[in-house]
Amino acid sequence: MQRTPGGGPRGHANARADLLQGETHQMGQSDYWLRKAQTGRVTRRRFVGGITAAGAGAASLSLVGCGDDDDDDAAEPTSAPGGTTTAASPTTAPAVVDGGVYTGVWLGGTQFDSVDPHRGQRDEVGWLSSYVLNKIVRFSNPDTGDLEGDLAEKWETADSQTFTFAVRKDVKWQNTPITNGRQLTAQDLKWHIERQAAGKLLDGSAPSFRFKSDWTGVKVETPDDYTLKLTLPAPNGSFLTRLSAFFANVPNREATEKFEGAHGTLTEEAMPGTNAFTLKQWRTGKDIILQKNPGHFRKDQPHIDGMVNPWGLFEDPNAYRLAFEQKQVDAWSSPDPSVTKSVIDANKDNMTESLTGVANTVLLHLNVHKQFKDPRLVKAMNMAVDRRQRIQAFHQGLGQVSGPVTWLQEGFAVKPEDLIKRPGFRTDRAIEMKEARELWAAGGGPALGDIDIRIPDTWLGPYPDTNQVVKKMFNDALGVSQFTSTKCTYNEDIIPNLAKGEYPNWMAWTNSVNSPDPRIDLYTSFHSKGSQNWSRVNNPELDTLLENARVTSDLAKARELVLKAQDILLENGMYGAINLYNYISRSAFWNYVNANVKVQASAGKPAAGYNLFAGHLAAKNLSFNPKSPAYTDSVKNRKF
Amino acid sequence: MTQTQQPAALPAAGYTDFRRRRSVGSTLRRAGALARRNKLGAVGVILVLLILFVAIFSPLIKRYDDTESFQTANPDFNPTANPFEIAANPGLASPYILDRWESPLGSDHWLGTDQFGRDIYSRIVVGARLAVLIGVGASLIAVISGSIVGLVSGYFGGKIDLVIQRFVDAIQAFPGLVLLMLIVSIMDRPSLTLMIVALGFLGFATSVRIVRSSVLGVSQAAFVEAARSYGATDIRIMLQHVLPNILAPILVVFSISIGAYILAEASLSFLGLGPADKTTWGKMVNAGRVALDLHPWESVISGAAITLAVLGFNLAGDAIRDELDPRLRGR
Repeated sequence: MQRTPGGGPRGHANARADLLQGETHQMGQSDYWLRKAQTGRVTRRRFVGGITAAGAGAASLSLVGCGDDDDDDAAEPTSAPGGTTTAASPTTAPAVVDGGVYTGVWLGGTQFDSVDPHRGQRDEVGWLSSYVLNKIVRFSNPDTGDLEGDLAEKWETADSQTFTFAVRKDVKWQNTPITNGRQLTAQDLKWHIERQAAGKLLDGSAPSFRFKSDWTGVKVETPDDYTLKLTLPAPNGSFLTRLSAFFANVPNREATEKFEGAHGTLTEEAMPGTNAFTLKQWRTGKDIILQKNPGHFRKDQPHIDGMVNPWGLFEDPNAYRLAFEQKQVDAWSSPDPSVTKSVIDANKDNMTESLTGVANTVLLHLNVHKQFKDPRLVKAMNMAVDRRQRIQAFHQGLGQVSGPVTWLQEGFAVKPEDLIKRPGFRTDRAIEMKEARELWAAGGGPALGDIDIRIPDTWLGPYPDTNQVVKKMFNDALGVSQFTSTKCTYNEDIIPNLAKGEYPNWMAWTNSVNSPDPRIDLYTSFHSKGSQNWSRVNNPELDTLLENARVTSDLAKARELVLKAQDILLENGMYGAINLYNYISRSAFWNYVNANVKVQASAGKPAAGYNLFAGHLAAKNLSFNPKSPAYTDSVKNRKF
Repeated sequence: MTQTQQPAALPAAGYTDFRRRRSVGSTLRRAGALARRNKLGAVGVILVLLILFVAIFSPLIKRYDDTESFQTANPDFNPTANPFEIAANPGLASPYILDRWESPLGSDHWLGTDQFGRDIYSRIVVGARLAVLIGVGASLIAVISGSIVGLVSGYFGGKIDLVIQRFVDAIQAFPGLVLLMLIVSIMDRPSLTLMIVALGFLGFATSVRIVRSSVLGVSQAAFVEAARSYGATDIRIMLQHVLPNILAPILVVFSISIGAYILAEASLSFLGLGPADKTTWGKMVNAGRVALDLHPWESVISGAAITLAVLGFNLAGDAIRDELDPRLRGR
């Protein structure tokens, strides 16, 4: 939910890896986190690789490492003779064959702004690096927030302020001329943290490091090569979830430093990996190709030999569909869900449906440093935008409005019955428009002259007539004719101008929600010291709430504080960073794919995947099903 | 020398004298004869007249606002439905349902509705105005600027001609659509005006070439020599003696180009480079592609509109050319 544009959504119509990355919505078991947050009670069940500490640490550990017994993870596939594996789960039990190349649009618009995961402002580099790099700890289920070890095989904390990680001893960097296949040690993790905290390059310059505020004041110690000790400046109840976010990947120091001066140029050499896949090709204008990493420390992963993300399909829905129908890609989603449904219905024996909550919140971002300096204008715009009509127009009703905390993070979100009473979310459009017009007039809106609400080009690919729709919506709602709408790009018009406060007014996807716990993102976006506080919000009351919410390990208290913070944000039209909604993507996939979803499709029921990014689980979950009649030679023999 | 001493511009053999006046009845009779002689041309003229009529009177004949989304109240709306319920029943999410993808021949929407529930007929009508505006505007820019430069180039010759022609060569060396995309995409906000100017710039080179070659022929004519011998200035000769005698090819270029510009604009709009917040036929073709097999009408109808407009202007242009060029007349 950070207010930095995220480019194409990972989860939009692209089945990308809706299947692969787990964007399919988990229908019916989503209240896990809600219950945890509302009660503050968490049942310790199992703590994957973690060493729990007694006393004060128990509560914080429970936040991040545990879950109720009723939400067991999908069973891990077990090896079987003959090069195949079979899943143990009695409900899913797909046939699995090792090998094969998965092809799909699993990285959105693939408009990378950097090869450096520390500096990229867009989500894409975080998504891609999640397949190639590892995190210190990771989500075993991103929707619930359950954790497991990644580079750290276990960890402990006594007070949510001091964390000690035992680093795995079997992790080696991909063998390239830059890394020579050396061992990963705690020193790599120390550099990873300290570089971001310092926010400086080797030449002394200090460009924007996206997550700098996460690391400011963190003391890093490495008592030995395989122990990492972190001491935070204050307790942080959601620290481990931040370590698990899709962007928190640990890059190779030598490669990152070598390409510091050319971080905007894509090359596979810039990102030698440790994870289940390595980059075979990462060049502008070409397909992105991942291949199996034979040296990966999880010896039974990945099942597949590689993955291909074809270049350019995201922006061309028809070419994308054609590629899917010809099995050139394994999953697909039309911007129009009814089209996807019709294709699935016509191929019931060979295709499966998947429904996915899209984590890239659709955002209206107003420049409060220029035209929208007057808070009344921001509030007016928050009411003028017709969220439900947008969901209807663009997603045919598949979606729900989102407040400052999205419905994907329901444990902390304002309840729908409360949200519909707030300005901007009310169902009576007449009231919304009346109040919006009054505020617009009082704030001097008509004197602003032409107002351009710009739409990034990646959005216009699947939704080509958005400009006209948006222009009409604001002109009608505010009773004016001063709004217009033109095209822009994330990489040229928005991202480089955010820190300078010179970004345009724009509307489209923002960065994807990265955790069921929104506290750090709220801090980053709205605290006066947040590293992505583009609106330069400086509200002492809000600061205090966000600070207190961040440090507490009492989930019920955290929720209460976050709700109070949202009251302020809603009152102020979210200070110009106006969350609109999150939609649900309907995807089709050939049923020879065992997708990376929480629950595979079965008996006419659509697949249910992860709402939040789960690409790091693809190595475990993604495979081919040899029993599918659609599993033809053209798929079997697919090469890079 | 006074004005009255100037010789009247003498019509050269084979050139049309545009200053001759005819009665209305005579014009109609002549038009009828032309239509009988050139049936395709007549079809073209009728299509052009139809498109011009629609374009000029679009505010009167469109049935609705072209951007208006039609919607129906939704009794199933449940504002507190959770996303899981909505996934199973999208009808819960909104207090109204858009009347999207309605089929043609309905009483409310003659040509159906698009994905946003907008009336396709009204959008076609409004799009016609834009198409004509762009086609005629760009053609005027191209022909007027090209005529001036071509006139100067052909009349003066020498180094001026050399420089102008090399410049024209440079423009023509680029593939038209690519150059157009380049011009439009480098602009931060491609507007309607920009698009017209860009299209006109693209057609400028062709106009220069055609006008220049006509000027080369006319400027050697005896009546031009005669004017020179009387001491007429270059500007006077160009405007009073040369220009009236090259109007025929200029008119042909103008009329034929309109169709090409409409097509070029449709191509740009189809590619997402057109005027972003305007209703254009090209954009409609593109928008309808998303659901082409289920709901083909938006793409088919807007595509047909483009085809008919381009066909009409081309046939009419051909007819004008045939009529004005005595060598082609009667073929």
